Amino acid sequence: MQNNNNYNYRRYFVALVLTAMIFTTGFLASNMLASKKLESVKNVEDNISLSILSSETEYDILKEIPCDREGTLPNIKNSTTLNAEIGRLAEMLETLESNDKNDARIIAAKKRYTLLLIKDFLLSKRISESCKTKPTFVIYFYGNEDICPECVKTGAALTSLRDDYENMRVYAFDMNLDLPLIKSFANIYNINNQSLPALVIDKKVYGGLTTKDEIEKLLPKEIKVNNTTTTPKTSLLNYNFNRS
Amino acid sequence: MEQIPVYIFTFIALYAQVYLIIVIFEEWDTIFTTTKGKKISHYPQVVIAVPCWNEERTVEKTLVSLLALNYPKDKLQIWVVNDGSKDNTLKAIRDFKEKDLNNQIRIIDKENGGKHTAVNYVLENMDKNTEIFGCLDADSFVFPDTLQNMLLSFEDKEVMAVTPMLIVRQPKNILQAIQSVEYNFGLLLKRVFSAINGIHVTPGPFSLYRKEVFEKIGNFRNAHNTEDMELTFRMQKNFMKIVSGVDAYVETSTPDTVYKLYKQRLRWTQGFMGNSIDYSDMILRPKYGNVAMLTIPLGWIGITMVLYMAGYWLYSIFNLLRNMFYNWQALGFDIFTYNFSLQTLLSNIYLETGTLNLISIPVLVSGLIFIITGHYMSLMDSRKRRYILYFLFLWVFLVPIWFAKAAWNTVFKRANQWR
Repeated sequence: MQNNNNYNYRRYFVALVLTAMIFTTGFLASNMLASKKLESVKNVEDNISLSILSSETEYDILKEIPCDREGTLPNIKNSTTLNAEIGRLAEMLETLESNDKNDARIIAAKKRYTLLLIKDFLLSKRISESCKTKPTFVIYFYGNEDICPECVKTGAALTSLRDDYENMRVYAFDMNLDLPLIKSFANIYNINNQSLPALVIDKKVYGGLTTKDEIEKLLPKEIKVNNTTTTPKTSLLNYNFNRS
Repeated sequence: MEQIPVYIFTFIALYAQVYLIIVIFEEWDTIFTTTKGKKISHYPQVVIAVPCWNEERTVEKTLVSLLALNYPKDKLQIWVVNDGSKDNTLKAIRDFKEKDLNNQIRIIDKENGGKHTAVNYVLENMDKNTEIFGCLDADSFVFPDTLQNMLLSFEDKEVMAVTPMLIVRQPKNILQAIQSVEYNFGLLLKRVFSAINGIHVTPGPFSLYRKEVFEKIGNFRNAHNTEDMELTFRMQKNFMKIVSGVDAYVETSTPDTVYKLYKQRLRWTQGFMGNSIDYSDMILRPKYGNVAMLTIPLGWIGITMVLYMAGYWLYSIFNLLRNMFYNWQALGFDIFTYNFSLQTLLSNIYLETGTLNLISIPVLVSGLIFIITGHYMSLMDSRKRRYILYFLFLWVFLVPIWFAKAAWNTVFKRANQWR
């Protein structure tokens, strides 16, 4: 019997070429858009660097003037603005990460973000020490699900607390990030992957805290005063990058 | 890493669509032809078998539609086979026989043996001068010109079987409305696959065959309760040409409950899997044409893709619920004041621009164009366009259910049932 099943190689080939073209276009376009988004991340980073540099300079000035006049220095006075900027950067990185957490550019941006965070922390600490005020910050070491299954709860509790307390600053460090500085920083407090989630409040280390109530009890009084709820709320995973 | 299969599936889905679009443009005249102004050169002797099993409610209507066919009465015989019905089907047929003034109907009452035995009985006992054999399920109804329109396709001497254009009879609820969109979408697909001889099933409601088909390759077989699909596979294996009829509308009743639909689709899907395993020696062999290179592989890829995606969604939903549970553990009832950062999600700068999302756009758009074109090929009035929305939002939740069960049954060799 005659073969009626007209199999047509040409069509299969043309379809393959067209599909490959559409796919390549999709790849290029998404790559281009990702670069655009990273550019805006870079802008925020630049802003933060500038703010930190200004704060450092002001700190130097601070040495020259008494602490009760610190309010006259714009950058230190507006430290909540810097806090919000850092929060925004964290949010941007989080979104980019959820698209493609293996993108080398995003990982690099996250490392730069961590460095800025440490710098900001050191500066705040110096200011609070020289002005003899109680520090109003919490250091939080976390990891992804493999090394810290409980971190998702602590992250949610901290995010909620920060929404409640405008003065509270949370410095969150991802122990999965390949950045030796984080490990050295954690070593100062004898924290390793086994002790996650770990919080440092007023130089004391607390491990395994997962509920809002538990953490709230440990917060210094200074954090709780002037409490307003006008701060823009940040997202769930702000303190929990690289979750999955 | 978990995205790699999704990339592969998306590529294949896009590839299949691009291929079908090329076929549509190149075979435009064949696909969108009409029967207007065309007449058949002679009236062949036609026998239509109507197998019935518990069809007392619809069989009379089916017979009315057959007797109303615009075709010489002496050239058309209708064999109604009561396949051991447990209800009053036999009485309904006998009562109706009194209205058959031209004596076109013959009634056969036999013990239940399955649909294929009922149809084979007619094949074995029909007159020797029969040229065209057809079958009409007793829940389906033909239009007066359907037979003549379909016989036009047999003017091509190579054509061995002609399939109908199935449309859903008066959808009465959302479930039937969704099915009507699916059937309409199928109208276009059938025509496209017909143009490349890639049809894999000649459906029970009013497919027509030349008598030689059965003389050369034998009668219907049980074949996982999908005898129509098995016969088509066998025809394709024997290089017989099958086309989709033009203006060959046949109305069919569709399941009105999710459970009935599930049973029907489970049978179809499992039948597809079983038959393609039985005929696996054809698959991906260019010798057997597009049905082996495209239709059957695409069916398998479709099933795998739907199951994978459904699994992926279930996993994501599970993760979401788990995170919500953790948040609840951490925050207690504060969770209700908790901000889920919608602003972040909706903000323009964060618009999801992953490669997959960008590539999904052409896949979805061309899929939608296929569905809308199918809608216009059907006889459905344009006010029923809202059915397309029901289809888009609900069908995806239903399909994985019977695909999963069919895969399970196939792997563990469980037999399926008719109803």
